[in-house]
Amino acid sequence: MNSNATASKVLPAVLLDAPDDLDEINRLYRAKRWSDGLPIVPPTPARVERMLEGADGRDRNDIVALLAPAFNAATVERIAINAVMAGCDASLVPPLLAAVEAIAVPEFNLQALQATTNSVAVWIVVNGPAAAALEFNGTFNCLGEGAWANATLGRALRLVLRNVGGALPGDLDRATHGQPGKYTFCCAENEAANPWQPLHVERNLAREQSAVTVIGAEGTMNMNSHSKDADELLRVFAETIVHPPSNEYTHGGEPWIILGPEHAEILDRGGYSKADVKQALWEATKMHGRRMAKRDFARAVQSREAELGDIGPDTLLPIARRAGDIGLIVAGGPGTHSVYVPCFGNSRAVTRTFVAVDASGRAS
Amino acid sequence: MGRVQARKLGFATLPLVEIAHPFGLRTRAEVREMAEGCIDTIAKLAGTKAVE
Repeated sequence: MNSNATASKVLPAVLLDAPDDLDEINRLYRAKRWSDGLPIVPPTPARVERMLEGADGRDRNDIVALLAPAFNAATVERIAINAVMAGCDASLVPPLLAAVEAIAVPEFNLQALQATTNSVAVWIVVNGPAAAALEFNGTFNCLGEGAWANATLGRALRLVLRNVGGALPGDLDRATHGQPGKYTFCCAENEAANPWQPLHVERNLAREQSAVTVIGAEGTMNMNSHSKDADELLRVFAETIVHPPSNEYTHGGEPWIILGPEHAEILDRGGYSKADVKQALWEATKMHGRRMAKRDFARAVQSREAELGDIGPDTLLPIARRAGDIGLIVAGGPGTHSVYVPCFGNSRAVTRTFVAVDASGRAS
Repeated sequence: MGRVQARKLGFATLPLVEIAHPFGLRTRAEVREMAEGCIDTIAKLAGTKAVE
């Protein structure tokens, strides 16, 4: 179990006497606020049992984590119920359990992510051989619609965050606007197109392991550049990233870049390693404190004094505490695009491994 | 949120003072007035009387 809190008594799932009509059931789920606003797959006992076959023998009452802000217990069974509702295949239970475990790690700062007025969503990046085996999309339109695994895993995690974590908009979820990524936000890394180490290897796992990484993402900003020059490309990326009302500058954050394969190849041919790209972006995105609004600057001073010492209007604020804190994956299909993913600031990505199971629920 | 979290973390009777939100656009004087309006409640919850 992963939390600072203590588990209270966990109540087993309760069987609901529901009408035998999909429309009626969805009306009930809408009224109870048990859905994300989209129709759900009714979590009948038979469907939940089939979903639990993906749990690789874990006891249905095992507590995977206590989830803020309500600190309810995310048991294997409760997670499976939400996976059914989201439309997951049972084979997605292992990455879902890993993602739930990851979001409860203290440095992810789930309490703040769930209850903030910010637009932050949980972005899941899938790495390793299971990404292809489970048909996660890391190529064309990998952040868009169309891939069942991307869509349903991200949705299942959101339902867990709502139904177990208690983050209902306007109640414990205080997001001013939210964002579309709060319905689902999940992709694989395009490891075949990555000229450097993929994310999970960079984070000290073996290439043969499979993993999910959870990230507190505020949105996506497309960067369309036809430049074929590495230095020029990094310059325009940096100019996109710099924006004064940014959580990253206020707190020293963990911004992420999704390099399209073409841009990754240009940077690689230009002689840049992954660490070089991060270092170059870290240097080029330093911003004078005076560019921030006065109140935002005051918050930055308060938040980053221990890190940076005396901070004045002429201080060049780095977007992250270290260049290595900038996250970078390669994903997407061919095209002249990369994506800047601004982040929550006070959150750090967390990676957890999982073992894929086959259709019979056995580890494969 | 405070009440939900207090209950879940085993402090169901934790005394809480409610302050109406939002107050991001309130002036300093207005915020002070709101704070002063809470003093008696805080003192009561703490088991003491407010000092003028």
